[in-house]
Amino acid sequence: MMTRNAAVKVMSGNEAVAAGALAAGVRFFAGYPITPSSEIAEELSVMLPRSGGVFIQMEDEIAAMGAVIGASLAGSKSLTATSGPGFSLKQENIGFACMAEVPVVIVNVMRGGPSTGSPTMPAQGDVMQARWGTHGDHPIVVLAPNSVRESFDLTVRSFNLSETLRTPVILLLDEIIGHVNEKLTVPDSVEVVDRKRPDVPPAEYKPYRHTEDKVPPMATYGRDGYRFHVTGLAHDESGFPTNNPEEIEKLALRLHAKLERYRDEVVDIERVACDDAEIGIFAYGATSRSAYQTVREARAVGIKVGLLRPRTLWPFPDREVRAFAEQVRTIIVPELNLGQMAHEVEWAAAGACPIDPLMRIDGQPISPRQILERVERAAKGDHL
Amino acid sequence: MSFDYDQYLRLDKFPTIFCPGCGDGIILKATLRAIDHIGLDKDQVMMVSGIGCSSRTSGYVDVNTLHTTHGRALTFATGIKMARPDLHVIVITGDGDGTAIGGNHLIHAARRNIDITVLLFNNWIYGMTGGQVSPATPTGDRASTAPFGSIEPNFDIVQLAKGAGASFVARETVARPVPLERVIEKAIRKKGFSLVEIMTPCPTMYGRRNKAGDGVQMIEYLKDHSVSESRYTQLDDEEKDDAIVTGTFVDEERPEYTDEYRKLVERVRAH
Amino acid sequence: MPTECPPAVKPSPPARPKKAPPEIKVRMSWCKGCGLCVAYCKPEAIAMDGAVPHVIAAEKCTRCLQCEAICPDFAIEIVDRPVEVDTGSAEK
Repeated sequence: MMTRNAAVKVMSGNEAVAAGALAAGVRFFAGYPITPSSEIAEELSVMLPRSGGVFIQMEDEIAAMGAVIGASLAGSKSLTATSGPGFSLKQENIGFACMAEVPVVIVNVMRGGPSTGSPTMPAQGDVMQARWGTHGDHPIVVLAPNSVRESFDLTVRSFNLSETLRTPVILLLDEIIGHVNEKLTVPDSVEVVDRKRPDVPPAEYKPYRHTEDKVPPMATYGRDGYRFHVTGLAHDESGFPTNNPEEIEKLALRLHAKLERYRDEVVDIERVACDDAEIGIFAYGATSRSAYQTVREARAVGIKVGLLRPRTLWPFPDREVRAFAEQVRTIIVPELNLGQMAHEVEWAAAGACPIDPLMRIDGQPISPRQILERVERAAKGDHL
Repeated sequence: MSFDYDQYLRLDKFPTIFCPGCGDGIILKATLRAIDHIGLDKDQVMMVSGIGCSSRTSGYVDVNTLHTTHGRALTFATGIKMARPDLHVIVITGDGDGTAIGGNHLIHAARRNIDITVLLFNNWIYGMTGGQVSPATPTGDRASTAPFGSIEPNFDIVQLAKGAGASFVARETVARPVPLERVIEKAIRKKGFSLVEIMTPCPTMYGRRNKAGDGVQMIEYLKDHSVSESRYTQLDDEEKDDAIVTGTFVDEERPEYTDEYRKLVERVRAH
Repeated sequence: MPTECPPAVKPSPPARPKKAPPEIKVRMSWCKGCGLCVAYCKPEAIAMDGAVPHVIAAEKCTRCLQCEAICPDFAIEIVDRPVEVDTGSAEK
């Protein structure tokens, strides 16, 4: 991904999201101010007009979500960014994007919740909401960077996945990653994926064709003579509403099959010292930065601990967790919430080993020491 | 001599889901005549609707169509228009969709003066969901959620749009299809945010509960109670209460949002 | 000097096509029987028979197209029939 003459800068995770979006080809941003995500909007309010793209601050988060979907259907790669309360507001329209299969990227820089919560403090309390926040059975892709570097790279990946799958992608930062400043080498260019275009003339075009790869080609409003209908109602291949039970089921199942088919490409994990691990840690986002330090310190005194770190939270890396659970004697799951991912880890582990949730919800980060204490306990056999 | 509506229709979707005597189809026809008269290319027309009977209209028209979430059509439309100022964007909404859940988006789109034409089908009720009270239901009238009569004051939608800064505001009824077509044409041609509030009967949900009769009777009522602004001033208080003031209330020149944005981009890029 | 002018003879107007009454077409599968077309037909060329519009006097149709404009269901259409030329006396 890196090329010569790449610029080396120091920037925050939020700024890296903006830079990644621009590198990925974003042409439209609609958002609303909310701590701790506002810097993404502010950065793009400068960069998008400079590059001839569109920036608009909408009247609320719901409007921002509607606008990005409209812009995407009209041919622009689009982005919105928010935090907890705004993420809650966006849910209905996120569901629309899932149902209508509109590529769009939604950044949620998580903060303490619920409700207004702790606007300036980190949390990881929206991970279940990212999966199930909008009503109905819908698949979704959720990525979680743990550094400024990844804030850039996973933003690019978010756009590419959303275009490949014709689905909204949620990028979950938290206040720490959003605001931490780190060195970033910004590449001159990145690999960019564009949505699949129609392969038939307008008269034959079906915007929701049940294609073999489960992703229908996507036309753009007002271009090349393609006129089509998009609705949030259950619809058939033609895009028009249907009450036919067969068609309703077909659509729902294809939306899931879409994610199933691309599962291995979408699921993305980092393994640190896992090969001979006897004790496991499952951590993501800012918490995984502490976990890196825990692994270093534990290994230094001979404890065979390994870290399984998902960069993709949803679809959940169930197979990878199961294999890990069969290898280690316990998996410690440190999270800035009350065990949201720990539940998934437990389910995926299917009893292969006990799961040890390490929960913190006081707006403070989990320290390497906190995780190390659990590792030491497990090393002594006291984890049960 | 007869107008060829079929060229603009998705014929395989007919007959429509609208009830007998519903006026929504009359508005659609007037809109199609207006589009034709202006000479717009079907590929360049973008119809965005919300949720409700009004908003089912988009499915019947052979242009670019988007049927969005309840109250949010203007937000999707704003994204489309900003990304593609070349498209002629028409938003179809209702009194509930447009002024209750969608009220906030209405006032902001008007404030921005973005070049979108809003056709607000006002049938004084939430028809699709079974006849609940809307912000446009006249005080005292009955609805399924106001079984004893609504105690709420209803919006003057023209004043609302005017107050929010819309550069073109008009009201018509389905009783007079030719003036309706004319005002819709003016609204579409207008560069800026234009809103046409169109009174249309809902005999099934509103009419039955309020003993307003069938489609014919309700449209006769609209015809009999429509007055121009100047005529309105001559009415007595009782007549004023029931009057539906039609005409064009605002037609101003104001900077249009996509133009202003384009100028901003030019200015920024020149440095 | 002529003593009498020949009787004035009006030049015959050119042969004028006689307009046949238009065809008032109703797409029955789309018509919902609301009666608006009949309510708007001032010349009373059509009437409702229950929920079905009937053409009762096509020759009364003035082609005002009000029925077309008011039909919410795109169900009624006024179609001109082909023109016949009447070469007989056009004086009335």
